[in-house]
Amino acid sequence: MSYLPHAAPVPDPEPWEAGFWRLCAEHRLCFQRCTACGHVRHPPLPCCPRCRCFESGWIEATDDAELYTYTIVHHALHPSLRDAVPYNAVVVAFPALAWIRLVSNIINCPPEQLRIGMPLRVCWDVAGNGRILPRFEPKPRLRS
Amino acid sequence: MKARTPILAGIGQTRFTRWNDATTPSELQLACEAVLAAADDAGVPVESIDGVASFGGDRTEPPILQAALGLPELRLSAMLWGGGGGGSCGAVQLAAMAVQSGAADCVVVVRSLSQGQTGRYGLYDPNWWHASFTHPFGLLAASALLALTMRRHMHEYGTTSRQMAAFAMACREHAHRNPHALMRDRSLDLETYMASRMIADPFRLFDCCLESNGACAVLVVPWERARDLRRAPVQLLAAVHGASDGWSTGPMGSFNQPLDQFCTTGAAHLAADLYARASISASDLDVAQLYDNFTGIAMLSMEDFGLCGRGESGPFVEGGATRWPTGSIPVNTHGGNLSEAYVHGLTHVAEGVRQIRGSSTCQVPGAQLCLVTGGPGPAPTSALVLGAV
Repeated sequence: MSYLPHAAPVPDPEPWEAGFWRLCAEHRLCFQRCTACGHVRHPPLPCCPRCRCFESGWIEATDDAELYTYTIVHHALHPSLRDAVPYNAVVVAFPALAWIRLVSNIINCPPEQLRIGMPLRVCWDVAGNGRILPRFEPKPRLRS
Repeated sequence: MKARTPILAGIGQTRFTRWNDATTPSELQLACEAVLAAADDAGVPVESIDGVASFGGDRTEPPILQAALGLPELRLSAMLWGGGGGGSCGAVQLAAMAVQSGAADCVVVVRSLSQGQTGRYGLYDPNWWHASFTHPFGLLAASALLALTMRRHMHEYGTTSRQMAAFAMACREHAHRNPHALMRDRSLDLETYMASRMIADPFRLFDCCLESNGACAVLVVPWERARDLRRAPVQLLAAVHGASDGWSTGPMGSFNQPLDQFCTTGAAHLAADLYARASISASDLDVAQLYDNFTGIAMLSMEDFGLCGRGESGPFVEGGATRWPTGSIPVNTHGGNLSEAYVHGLTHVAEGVRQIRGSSTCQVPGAQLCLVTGGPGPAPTSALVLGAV
């Protein structure tokens, strides 16, 4: 059971975005990194905006994901989402990766428990076209 | 004043209707009606229009408008890139640049929407940039995208729904005096606002702009033609459009911005450039027409354009600063996108012209300087300053 219905819009990557989704299929959340200067960027783009190099690789996301901001969507803007509202849509930040950010959803968390700054961990979900989506859930507290 | 200094010579608009009104004419007809009204308002022959500029992907292409209106010569056919209303003031800038350079002599800026004909505006569009990184997560439209910005602003500065309501109610009060406003007869109090359904938290129904049909047009000519005009000329002191570094790398721009820019409209640099070009500061302004796609986002524009300090827009609107006639700087004296009509903010330019002419239904006495902003959120956004001659 996916967080949003399978009839919801699905990833349809541009050529320079394909690597991100190929890695998601392996359950690896990675961001694009410039081969020349090491600048990490998201969403992916063909050329490094810092040094203009066209060569790039992928770097694994750090495990310090936190909730940067969120909304609870109540008004469905696509027919497929009419039975899915209310749902959350969030921005996740990775402080150790220069606060790079990713849009996603948080599962296993009632809306009233969403807090800016809450620690998150990635989990994997399936879109209607079989693409693997990075979603997040609250990070369990470590026992001391 | 220099001979080619751009003057806003005429404004025109059609009747405004709700987006699903079945009696609304076609977009092309609405565009023609608005252009004719602007030419009539200016007192210039329609045949003298030799340029057309628009924004937001308007479907009325200038050569079609030329054919429909029988314009003998077309010297400017200009579209400002970018979605939504970001380019409203930028399209006026394009018209002014053509007039100033002599490329064209009488340019009309026009925006037309007839959603019964073309489908409802602002729904899911699979062709958005970076769509694979937003749409599968249910972020499909401006309401949810900008709700993310607003939620973080509330977290950082303590901005509240009551404060957003104060801005919505001030705009509504202005609309009550505007006979063309769609919401002229509909009152809005805090209780009604709070009880309205949630669209994308924290935005309720009454935080969101209207969805309307209608067209608006603004005519730009050089100062050397001012003596032929029917109305007192309004000077375009400066107009700018643009986007700050990195603003487009992410849906609706801001997602990768550092925190001090995240809860903004990305227009602070644009504001500084605008005021420098107009040789004014924010404190010189008498009145402002700020593109209000959502209450809270228009409030962020107040911060970016220096009407109040960063993070202070909540108390600023709650204290009545933007309410006519008692506020220190009345905002959206026509009712804005929230309560007059949603024609992608060209109506804000028209209201700016009315304020400088002294003909607004919420007239600021002796208004000499009016700020107008384009849609905040998308890149590029735009802004202009109008002044009395």
